[in-house]
Amino acid sequence: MPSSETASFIEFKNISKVFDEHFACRDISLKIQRGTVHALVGENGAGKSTLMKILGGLLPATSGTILLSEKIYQPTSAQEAFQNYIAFIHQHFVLADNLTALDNLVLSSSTAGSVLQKKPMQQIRQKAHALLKKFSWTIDLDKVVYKLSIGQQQRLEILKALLQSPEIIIFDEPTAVLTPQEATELLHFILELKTQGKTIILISHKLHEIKKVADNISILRHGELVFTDAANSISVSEIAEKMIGRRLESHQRASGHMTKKVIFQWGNENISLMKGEIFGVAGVEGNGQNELISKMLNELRQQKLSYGDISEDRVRLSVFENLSLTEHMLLKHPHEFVSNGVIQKERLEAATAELLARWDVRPGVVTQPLHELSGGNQQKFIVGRELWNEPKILLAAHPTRGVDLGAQQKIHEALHEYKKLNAVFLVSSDLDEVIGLADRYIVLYKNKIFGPFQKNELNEMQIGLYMAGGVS
Amino acid sequence: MKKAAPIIGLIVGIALACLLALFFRENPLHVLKVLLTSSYNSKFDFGLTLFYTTCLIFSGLAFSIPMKAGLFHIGAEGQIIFSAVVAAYLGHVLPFDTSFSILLLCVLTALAGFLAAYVIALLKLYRQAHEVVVAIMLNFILSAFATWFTINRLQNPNSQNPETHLIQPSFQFLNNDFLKVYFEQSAVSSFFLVAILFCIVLFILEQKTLWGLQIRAYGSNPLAARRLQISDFKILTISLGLAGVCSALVGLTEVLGNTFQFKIGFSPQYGFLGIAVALLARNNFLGIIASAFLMASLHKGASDLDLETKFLTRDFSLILQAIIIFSVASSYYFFNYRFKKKVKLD
Repeated sequence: MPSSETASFIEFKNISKVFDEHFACRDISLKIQRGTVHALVGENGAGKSTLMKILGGLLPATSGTILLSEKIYQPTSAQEAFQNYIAFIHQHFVLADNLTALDNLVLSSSTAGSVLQKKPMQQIRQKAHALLKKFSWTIDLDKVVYKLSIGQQQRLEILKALLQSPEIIIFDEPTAVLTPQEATELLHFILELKTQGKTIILISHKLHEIKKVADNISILRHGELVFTDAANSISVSEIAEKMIGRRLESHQRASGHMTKKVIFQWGNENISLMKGEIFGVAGVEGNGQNELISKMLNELRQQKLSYGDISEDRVRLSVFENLSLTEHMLLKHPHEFVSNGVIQKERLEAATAELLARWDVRPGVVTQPLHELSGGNQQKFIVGRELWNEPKILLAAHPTRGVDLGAQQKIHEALHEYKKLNAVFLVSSDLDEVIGLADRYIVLYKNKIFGPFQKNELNEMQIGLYMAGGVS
Repeated sequence: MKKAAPIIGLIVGIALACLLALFFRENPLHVLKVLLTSSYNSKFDFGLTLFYTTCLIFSGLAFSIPMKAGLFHIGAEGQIIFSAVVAAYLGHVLPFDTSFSILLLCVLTALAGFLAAYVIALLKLYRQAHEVVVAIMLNFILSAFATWFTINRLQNPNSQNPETHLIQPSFQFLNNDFLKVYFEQSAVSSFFLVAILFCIVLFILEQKTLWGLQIRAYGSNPLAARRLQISDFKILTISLGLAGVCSALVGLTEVLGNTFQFKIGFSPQYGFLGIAVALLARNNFLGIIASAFLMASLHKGASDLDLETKFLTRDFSLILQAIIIFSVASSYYFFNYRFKKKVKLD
């Protein structure tokens, strides 16, 4: 802990943010010291991003004030936050994919002035090179952004922020898209920024990471601050407990039910699924997962096996806007609820209601449009629906993405339960999920398949090497 | 309040129209009187309004069915003209013995409409061509074909106007239609009842059958629909095919029920007015009956302004229609904006 404990750098005073009648943040008072790494944790929708958006000038607070070096600070735009040396590194990169890295830097650092002003190319290039050298990073500034790797894109995003020499840097879920190696590097980098006197606010789900780098931790739950103190005063399991309000079971599960009975043989890809196993696919996203899934679907359809399909992108591939829960149920299982061409409404509604109750989908109104539910409830509904007729094979692609910890646990339990009956094909970019659940797994890197490996055959770092293409 | 939105929009629209009339030195009360009463002046006038209603219901459906599947179908105009000329041709050449021939004529005309619309579906399915571009081009091609065919193959020898032969007298059975007789030989015919029946049947199909649901699902999210193995082929065939059949029914209403021939330019752009009808009804099949009737009354009233006033012309009547449609359509958005609360967190 730094010595100047009394003089807090950023101070939130009774900050509330109300959307319609819903509190996203409720009366949050929080102090952040200069030159520290402050972690902000909480489930999805707990209000951590909202709080940071208020600091970053992207949202106005409904009530309360922010003090910056003991002066009142009320940003109305991201520019204003920038001028106060606050940089926001978003979870989803804000880069123009078709421009070069340098162009992106120039774009973001363009100041007000004549529209026809010459672009300060050389000046920015020099500044960027100086920074790159300082952190011994390599990014080809003349490369088009979409050709850079995800890790490089993130560095570019960070570089963009650092060019403005900010004092406060907000990282929103920075390691979500990185390999373990890249993530470790990033954490080192964050510590290095700290030694240079920068103040860092880190929003994250990954509690072990936070324990490694954070000086202080604040935990939000349902928009309220439930804990704020030094990081070494609390254990990982206590953090998790405070986040969700109850104790969380560790999700490392024993394998066991696996039999040698092959229920799905995929000749072309040399993949076979056995009854009683979860077959995992690890890898950083965008390394051929989606292609593998669609090939798998084709194969399953050709072999006429019954399958459940938890799609890789719920909003894009599974949710029909304005259609109700019952209608979603009917679309997946048409034959069960239609006789003589007429929809059996009562049977359908009863089955849907039962599904909602079993999966604790809230609110449990069967006629409500699916898209009005929260992400976690939508996903629980989809998982329940796909498992409803006990298919031979369950294809589960990123089954817990964008889902809060409570729902995540329920879904993991369900996959584990379900595999006793049949087999699960689990695709996930969350390495913990694959390691925790899968009995066997493959690693994807640039459309190439490595494995299959047995559970516990490799450690996390070895898998990381495969994920990063370090093993050929 | 939200339910009353279109009525408030209608009143505002009519008020705006009257204000505009004032600008043109017409007595707004007189304009109002013409607008509101000309559709119901006589049985004959009312029959004409119902005839317009019939055509607008069918063309409204032709837009609205593909819209359920997320397709913006603006090809009805071409299909209407094409099927009308087909009906006129068949009425001229088909040997008439039994009622079978009438049935055959109807089926073949419907098939013509189906095929004309199906071109759009095929190009979309196999060449990924956008339905709007294909449909708008087909409108020109089909109406040009109809013009060529009328003048070069079917020109009525007893007329200076570009129009076809009358269909054979035995095909003119709707002359004795009870609706037509009741409305003093006006343009209306039993096709009006067919139109209403169509709306009801389609409404039931949409709400109660799997196909209806699948089409709506496809319209809401085609990617997710494909993931559930709902085939593009099926959805496009059903939705665009039915739209083509509805377009063909406009042609049949004209040729079998009104003039008994095809006249070039008979359609006051039914195909495009149908878009307004469908949007006004917010794509609700039952709502289309009401909105088609409203638009038909307006159409009738506005075209009479030309005769009944000193300064207003037929073109001005189009402006009035546009203002009224605009204010009714925008009222939905206005009231939705005011009263709809959306809770959305990141």
